Amino acid sequence: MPPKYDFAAAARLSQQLSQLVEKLDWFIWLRNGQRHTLFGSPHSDNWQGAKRDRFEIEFQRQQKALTALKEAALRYQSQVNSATTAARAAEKAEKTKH
Amino acid sequence: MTTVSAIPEYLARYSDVCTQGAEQLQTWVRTVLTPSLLAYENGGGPCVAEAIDANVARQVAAAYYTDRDVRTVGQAFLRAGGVLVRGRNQPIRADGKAVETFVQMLRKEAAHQAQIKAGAALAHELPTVMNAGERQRVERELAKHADDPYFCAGFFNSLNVRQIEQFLAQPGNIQPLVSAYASGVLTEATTGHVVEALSRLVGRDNSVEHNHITPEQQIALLNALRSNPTAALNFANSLSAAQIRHLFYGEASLNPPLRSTLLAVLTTAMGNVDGQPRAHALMHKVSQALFGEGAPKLTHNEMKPLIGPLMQFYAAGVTQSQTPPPGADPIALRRWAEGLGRQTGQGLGLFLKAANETGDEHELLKSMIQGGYVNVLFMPTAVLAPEALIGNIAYTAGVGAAQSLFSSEMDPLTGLLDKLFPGGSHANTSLLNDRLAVGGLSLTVSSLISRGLVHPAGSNTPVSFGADPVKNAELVKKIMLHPDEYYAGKKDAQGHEPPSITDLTHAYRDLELGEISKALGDPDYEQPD
Repeated sequence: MPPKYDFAAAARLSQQLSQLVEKLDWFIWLRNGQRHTLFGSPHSDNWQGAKRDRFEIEFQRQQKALTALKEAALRYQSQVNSATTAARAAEKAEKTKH
Repeated sequence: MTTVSAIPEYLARYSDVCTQGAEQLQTWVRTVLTPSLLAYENGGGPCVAEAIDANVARQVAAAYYTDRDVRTVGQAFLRAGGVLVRGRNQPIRADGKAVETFVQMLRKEAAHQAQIKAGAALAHELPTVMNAGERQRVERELAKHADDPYFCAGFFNSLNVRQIEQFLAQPGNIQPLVSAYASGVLTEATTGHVVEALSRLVGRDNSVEHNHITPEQQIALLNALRSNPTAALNFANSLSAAQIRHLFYGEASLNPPLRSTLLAVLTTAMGNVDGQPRAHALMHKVSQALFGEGAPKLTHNEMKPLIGPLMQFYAAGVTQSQTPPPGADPIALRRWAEGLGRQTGQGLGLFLKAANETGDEHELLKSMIQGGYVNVLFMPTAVLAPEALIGNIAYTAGVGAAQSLFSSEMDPLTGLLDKLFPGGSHANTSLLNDRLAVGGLSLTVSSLISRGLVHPAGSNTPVSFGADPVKNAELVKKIMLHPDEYYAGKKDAQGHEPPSITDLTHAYRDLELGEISKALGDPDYEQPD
């Protein structure tokens, strides 16, 4: 028999997925801001050359991947919320049956 | 040289702030998100194929390592910038290759911190001036770690110049130093101390505050470096042109075998250089050190015993530059031949100029050339495992063809040499170069054959080497004698025809001899960067 749906765990996870989105947003912002403030454009004397070029490629790829994770977190949160709604409906139907 | 710039303090600040951010996020994922996901799944929640916590952890880790590396780059700039005075948060400008070298060194240091620290701790047990008992105790401990390059590097990097002089004066301490060089993490300062130690010969000055190395120990140390190709390469790379010049012309060279032994170390290093740009850079550095502006002039008698070792060094450098570009693009092949010729000419220019200036009637060079010096040219490269570069079969064929061409009195460059050096004023030096150029070309043709790039006119089927080395050499010789009848590469999509071997030969030698004629004809010639 499958375990009983844990509504408290679902609520906690949904809230933490919102937090994850905020934290990823913050991390993306932190890296962007530090990079912009401290390094300037890729041709700035603050840092330029092959290492900077390589960094820029990796940085952009990683920022894109982090942004994609935000979207994945939102999708997963939506699935959790749907599962919770379905479980509530099932529970209600079960109660009505008895 | 590519100049790059950075403000190391800014790189460090970025790295610190962003890696701290990544650590906080990772901690939250590990302690909050993952337990919640597990609780949800254990509580009847549907499992998802892609665990979001693992994906976040992976991406944040990737960002963490990239951002951590930024600090390393900043430190590399500090090292590459050397000792300089600059305002707070002003950029450091440095050679891109130097920064890359220091980045690699710093990564190695980071990976071997424990060993390096242990070696440094042993060095820190020493007082500034050691007595014999203390020194021997530490030497015994160091000897136990002679096979641990990072321990030895940590040890020698922590010694001051006096302590290094004292250590290197003792026979047992050569191996730990060689081991330390093999690590690739010895600092420039340590190399500076080693150069000083090699220069303080017994009996040359009476200063009591220094330890003096015996001539035998000095040569034994260089020979030990030579016997370890990785150590020899790192030693050669860490020496500046000024330090090579200091060793070659300074007090160290009062020991007669020093110059040829040092050249032998540099030749071993050249045989292990990674790729053409680094080979060119090493040739350039040595040429500048030995024959560049301000270098003392060698006399006829001083130059004579050095011609052989110098030829070995340059021959190794030329051999290292043979590798053709990938693919069969006709334009790329022409440019490669031109670049190879120009770089070889630049590498040899200063040496040939110096050789040309020694002796009144070039008797020295004449005797060298008449003395069967193809063997001098190819002997060192045979020792240096050329199969790594162009394959053993191709190499043997190239050598065979070059030797055969010389013995048949054929001189494919005479016409061009006459044009570049009218009146025969540089005839002997030209012959010297002739041997190098033909040697280089035969290896080049061989490497093209081994890559399946050479085909006869009117055929698309490439010629190839077989099992018989004599036939292989004959094939290379045939192509060099009839260079108009063979082509390299394939017609490209834009309709560019493949170059003939003659085209490639002209591209190579025009630029090579052009550079050399500049060196010989201009009293103020300076080697281009």
